Amino acid sequence: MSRRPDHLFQPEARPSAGASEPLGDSLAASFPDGTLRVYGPDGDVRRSWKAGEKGFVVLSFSGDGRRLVGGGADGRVWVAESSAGRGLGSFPAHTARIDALAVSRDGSVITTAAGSEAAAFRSQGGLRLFTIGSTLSEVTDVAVSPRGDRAAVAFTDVDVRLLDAATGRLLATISDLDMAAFCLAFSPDGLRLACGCADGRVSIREVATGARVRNDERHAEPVGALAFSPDGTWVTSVGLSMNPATREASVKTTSIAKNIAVTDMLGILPAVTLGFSADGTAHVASPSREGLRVWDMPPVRPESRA
Amino acid sequence: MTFSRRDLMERCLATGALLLAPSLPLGLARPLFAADVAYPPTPPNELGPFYKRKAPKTAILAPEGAPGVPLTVEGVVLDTRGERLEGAMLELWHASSAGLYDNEGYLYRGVVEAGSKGVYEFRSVLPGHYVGRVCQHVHYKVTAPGHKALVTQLYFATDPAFDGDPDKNYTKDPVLKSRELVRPVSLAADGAVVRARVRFEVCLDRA
Repeated sequence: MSRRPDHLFQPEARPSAGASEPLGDSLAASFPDGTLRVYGPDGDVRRSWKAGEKGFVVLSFSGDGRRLVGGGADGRVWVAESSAGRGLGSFPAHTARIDALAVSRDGSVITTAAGSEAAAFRSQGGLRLFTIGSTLSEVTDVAVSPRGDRAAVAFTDVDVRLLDAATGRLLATISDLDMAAFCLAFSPDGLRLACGCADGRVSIREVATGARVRNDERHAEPVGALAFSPDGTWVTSVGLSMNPATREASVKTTSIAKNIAVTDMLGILPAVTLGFSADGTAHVASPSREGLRVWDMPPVRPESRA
Repeated sequence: MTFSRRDLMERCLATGALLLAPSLPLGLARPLFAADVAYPPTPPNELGPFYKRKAPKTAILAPEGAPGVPLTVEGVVLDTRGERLEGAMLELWHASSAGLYDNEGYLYRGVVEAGSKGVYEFRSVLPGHYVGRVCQHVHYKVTAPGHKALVTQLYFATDPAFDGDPDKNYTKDPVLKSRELVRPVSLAADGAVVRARVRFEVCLDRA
């Protein structure tokens, strides 16, 4: 990997959204003129194409990196073939701006959130699988399992609902968090769910029951993004500083089995996306005023592996 | 269009005029107990991302000596038939005067129980401007048996974001959908300290 900590891509315009390839080394950015670009690790533009008239507000790769899905301010979802750099189609998902979305490993199932509701769709044709809403709270994030059979929806009322993605049937509710989960991620085997919370906690749960797998890890800031390592034994999380004076956040990588923090990087700008490259190095990215900032996680020391 | 006393007061207060008299119970200006009067429920407003469970039961939200303008909020919890809801629970939270939420602990968070005749009161400091939000605000989550839970926010007519005219400018905050949630602020000089007092009635729908 040739990237270095705090690497700054400087595209010609400020991105409206960014995404990290979950198990690869690509980064994608959406620009206000509707252009989508996929970058390599050195900031080289691998693919670029026009995906509409306006930039997306959220962007996400499928787990295999082949699909890139954007959510618009108009509530529409756009599906693209990342590897070929071309659009595949779009469908209406919500009547309001899409705040969050997630894509299954093969790109066949998409979960979305807008305001107080979340939904799941088949990406081909946009068939709606379920919608779940709340009258008293808003949705903070959604996730879909790699196989596309489970969905997770986090609300500001602090509950996280685990659902059958095909039917919307409620399977379990995680109701013992203290503050809302700002970000969710399924493990590669789909059996665990990581919740990154407003109070800085990173809580790992069994999908079947919602039970804790280990003691919660803790950031000093709300958690803005998280991801499992390719083998599911590590989780990396990014703090999201709410203090405009410092704007500093942190990145932690922890072993799930040993329940220990392995790496801890401070002093970065808040990041909104996170992925792992194939060699297990985590990278985080954030669309910022200056461009698309990228940081590599320091490599995990072999002796500290679980 | 008529220009009511209430409009005049709010505009004076919003521009920072000091009131040396106790606040007027504006929310009680209409008859509370007339059986034939229907009361509109308080408009809901977003719960927001920083709701925290298990807040302590306290009517003093700010720590002692906290910077900021001391604030007292008082009001009545009632329902759409005008019945006062003694025992209603109000969960309250807001940012510090610097605009920061305490997500690690419970500063600026508390649970207050409405007392006799549904009256509630809490003390804190005026919230600051939290990054990402236009207006100062206090979050409310109100529950009472037999009634629908209400999630809403209290806003302040003196907020600089309103530029002295909340009627015209309340839509500057995209989260703020209802002008009714912007309440007048009575400012009282207490020696060198200026204290703020706000009245905010909370009306719940029956379940």
